[in-house]
Amino acid sequence: MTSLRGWSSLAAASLTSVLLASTSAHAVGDGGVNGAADKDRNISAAANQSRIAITQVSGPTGGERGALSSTDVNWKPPPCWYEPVFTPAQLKNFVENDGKGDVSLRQGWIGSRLWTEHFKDEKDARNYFSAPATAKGYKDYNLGEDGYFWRGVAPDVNDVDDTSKCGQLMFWQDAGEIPDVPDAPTAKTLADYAYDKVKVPETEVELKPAAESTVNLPTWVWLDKGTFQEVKVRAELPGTNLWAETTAKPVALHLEPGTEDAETYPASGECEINDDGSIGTPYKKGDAEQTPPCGITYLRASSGKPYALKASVTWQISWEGTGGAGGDLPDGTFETTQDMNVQEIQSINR
Amino acid sequence: MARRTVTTAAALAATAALLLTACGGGDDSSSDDIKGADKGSGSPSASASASASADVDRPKITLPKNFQLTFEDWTSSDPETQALLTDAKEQLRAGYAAIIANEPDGGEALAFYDTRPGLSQDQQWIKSYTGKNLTVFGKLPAFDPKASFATNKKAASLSYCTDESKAYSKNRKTGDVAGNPAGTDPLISYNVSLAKNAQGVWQNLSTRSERGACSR
Repeated sequence: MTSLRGWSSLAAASLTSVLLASTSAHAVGDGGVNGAADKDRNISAAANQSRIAITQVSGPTGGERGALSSTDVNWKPPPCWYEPVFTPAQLKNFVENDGKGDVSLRQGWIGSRLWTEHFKDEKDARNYFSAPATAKGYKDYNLGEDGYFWRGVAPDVNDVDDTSKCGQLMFWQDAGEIPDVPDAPTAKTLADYAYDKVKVPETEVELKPAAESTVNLPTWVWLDKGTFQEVKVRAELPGTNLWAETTAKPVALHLEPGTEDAETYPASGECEINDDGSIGTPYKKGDAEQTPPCGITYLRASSGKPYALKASVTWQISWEGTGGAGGDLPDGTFETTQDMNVQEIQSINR
Repeated sequence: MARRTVTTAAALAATAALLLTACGGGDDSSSDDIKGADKGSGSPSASASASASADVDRPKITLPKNFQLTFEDWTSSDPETQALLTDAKEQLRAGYAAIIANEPDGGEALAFYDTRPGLSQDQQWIKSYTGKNLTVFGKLPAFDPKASFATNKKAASLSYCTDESKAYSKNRKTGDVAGNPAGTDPLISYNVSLAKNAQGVWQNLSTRSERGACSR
């Protein structure tokens, strides 16, 4: 029992900063959950933890922000890929001081002996899920050689329907080389991965009248320039020269009044983003009965329960990366809901 | 939440060729240097035909009445999937039987249903109970099984969920009872890897879990 506790801190200190939000270790009562990626297991060599480093290059970093939803429902980021995990020295340290981790996307090896046999003492092992069927054993963790041991990574292994994907046992690749295998990472992989990491600002639009709208009188909707800026996120895979920068550029604001009894301006509800980055036109005194370039007229009072005005911004996504690679990704949207109280004023007469 | 339906449609036409490579793979899953792992390891020369599974003398696993480990919709019209589900079920029953019998090594039945790495992991899990003098009781339903096979049908992935809201641990000495801690999701998503051994028994290679990734 002595070795059961305390192993996680040993390994975690020496490795890439892979910190897990420690979910509760409780399972049935005070026992453990088998295979939980918590303090009982797998902090260092967890196949659900990517080493891809994300940094935001431009765009707002504060305030309320959220992730984009792809407008293409069929688009999904890659479910898995291979990554460099250990140098020889790191593997040796992991194996000899911890020895509890994932040796492949679908296989944990819990116990140093399992690791030393294959990675130190040259014993062959079975590749159950990917070719080649036999993984040749390594001598002394390839110490002295320049390179990395690679392994499959999947944020959620349940998303990987095809068991052959990313399933190889941890394997060696010389430094500076990307393995020539299916599911090897590319700049595009990183761009796709970064898509989910782009955080765009909440779409809190300016409204006039601000507090309460009036039936049959237009509510002006606008956003000042500078509210929406490009958001650029850089993804790098340590141990490779792979990088990608994914840029989200706001292109349109879509209004949904939250009731059928309303008209939008323009009628489509799509307010273009102006060249200077603003949307619509700010309300000026005396504009009350003008038609706004971007706005809403409610035709019925909200009578107690406010309407839920949805404002969603469409973001155009492009990327560039290693070796001049680049292209577009599906547009993303981010939606915010605001309460709209609409009051009845009998005296309005057009 | 992205849980998928079963994808059993492996290319049967490719199976014959792939079986050959699988046989030459030097499966070391039955090595015996882990205590308790020497049962059910089987001889590597035995036939690997799927029909063998029915002939194998499987261990009988008994759980006490006060621990109801149940398996909902644990059936498939596909015989291969059914064989996988049945062995995975027995493996889980063997694990809890070892906890209840206070066997940190897992016992013979678990060794039968585990590969060597699978048993090594399960022993660590079992010790998270036995090491603290804990046994378990109550109700533990397993549900929503989804299987996908490797193209050679020699390895597979099985995901399922458990609901631990009515399962409890009990300290053998103090009698202290603990249930699912307040504020934690009692549903746990499991993703289990299995490999078929020479006797046609689906053995556990590895277990992974995540709390709160299931719904009911």
